[in-house]
Amino acid sequence: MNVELKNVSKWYGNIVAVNDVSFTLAPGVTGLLGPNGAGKSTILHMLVGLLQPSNGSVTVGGVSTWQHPDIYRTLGFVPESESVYAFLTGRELVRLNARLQHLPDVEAAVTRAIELVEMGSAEHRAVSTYSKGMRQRIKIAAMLVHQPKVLLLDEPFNGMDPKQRLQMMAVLRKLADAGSTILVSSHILEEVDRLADTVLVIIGGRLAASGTSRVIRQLMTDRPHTFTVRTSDDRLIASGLIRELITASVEVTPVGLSIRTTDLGSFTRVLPVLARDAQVSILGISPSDESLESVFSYLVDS
Amino acid sequence: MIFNPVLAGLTLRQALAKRRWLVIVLLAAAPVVMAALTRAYGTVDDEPLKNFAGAASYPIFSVVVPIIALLLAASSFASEIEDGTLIYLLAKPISRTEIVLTKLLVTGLIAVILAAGSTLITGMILLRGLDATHLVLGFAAGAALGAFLYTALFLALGLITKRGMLIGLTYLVIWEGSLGSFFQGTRTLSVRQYMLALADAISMVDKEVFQAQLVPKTAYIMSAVVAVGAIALCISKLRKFEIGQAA
Repeated sequence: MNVELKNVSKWYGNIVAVNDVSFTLAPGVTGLLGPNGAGKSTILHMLVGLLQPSNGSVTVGGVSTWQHPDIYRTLGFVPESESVYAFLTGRELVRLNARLQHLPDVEAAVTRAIELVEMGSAEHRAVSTYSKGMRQRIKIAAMLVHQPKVLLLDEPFNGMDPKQRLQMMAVLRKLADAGSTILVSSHILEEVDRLADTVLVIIGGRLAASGTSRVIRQLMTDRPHTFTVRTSDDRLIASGLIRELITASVEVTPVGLSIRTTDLGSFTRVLPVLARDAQVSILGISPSDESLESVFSYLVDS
Repeated sequence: MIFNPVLAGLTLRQALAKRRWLVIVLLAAAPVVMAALTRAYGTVDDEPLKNFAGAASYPIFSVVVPIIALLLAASSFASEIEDGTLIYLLAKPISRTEIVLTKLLVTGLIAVILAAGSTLITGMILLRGLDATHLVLGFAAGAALGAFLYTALFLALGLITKRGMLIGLTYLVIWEGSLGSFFQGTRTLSVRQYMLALADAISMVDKEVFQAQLVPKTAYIMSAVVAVGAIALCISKLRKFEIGQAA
């Protein structure tokens, strides 16, 4: 089932949260990647029909999602907020959602959903006693109990440990392989990269890049990198590096050399050779711009 | 469909959760306890009918009934918006009309039972041995009407503003408490006056004992207007409800 955003914008007064975004989701996993505050949740809320676009249209299977509660038969939404009806047990929570969906065989659907997220051992405990990761999983079970064709998840991996994360990725992968259309928002490249077939990068409310996760990863690694390198003879290394084509700039600073390179791969091969030939010891090397924001801002500028 | 049994069960649990049930039961029990104490230790009452009418119209109608309604109504939309659970309900294939009517029916019914029950028992204790069935039933009916209307109004308020509780209380104190009874014109816009008018119409007591300020017909029409208006407002607000709004 196709999910389509066409020229969608959302503004609050003078603040533009989402600016003219268009994309179509196809079956499989799509990652919605962007730093915090980029507008990912706003886009998800409009997709799920709980926020009215200021402009443009949002449709699922050709039907507008805004003010059409019937779409929730085919659409599942897992919100970021942890809040659930905490006075229920895990199984009761999933059962409640199944009954509100008017499913024909409630208990079978509940058991299937709970098994899918592997929460069987804790299903009879109150949700209020769950850890953050367990809450995420029971929430997902509750929201996919009706086996929606389209599943939208807002930061689903928050609070999960690496094992739970892998397990959840496997669950989503399984659902996607069975033909579901899944959108997962995240501010962590690695999460999206491992899971998604397609990645949409949102920055400052705009769609900054889109493509397969390989293309996005390429975009993010084939960019100028800046390193701080400390050696036993900074100036000697600097003079050697500046002769290399891959070096864009070298600056001598009190804490070491600040080196900007255009080719990460070649740089990592050239530097050790240079140091060995000049008999200089490398004391430390650290990337100085690896924060996600800098990666994103590079994408926006390019 | 206009009633959803699954949602009704959830609404009931939410309404009675977090010790709310204790507070509303205590509120409803307060006039009963006062009445019992009055009977046990008070001096001989020479005007029991008038005193009951007074007790019912002041503390019960203007404090007990609206506060019970306010607390119950707050458990539905207002606190669900606050704790973020409303999303789970809205992302379901359930019509907004069905959500509003089910929630109103459940919270309103609890309010009606407590309000009418409290008034009824208070009256039975205070007027034991007297022929005052109509008077007690009249005030119980008035309490029931008020409980339902206040619940509907406060449900709508919870969808209009995040400060529903505060505004509801302010409205009770300023409008219903003072302005509503001072001026002729404002009486037709006061739920408390509708309650009193219904009590008066059913009780059929002497003017000396009790007399409402509104004629029954006005009160009935206005009650219907308030109920339908509040329900329509709830449905319209819920349809347009948006989550995750930027600050």
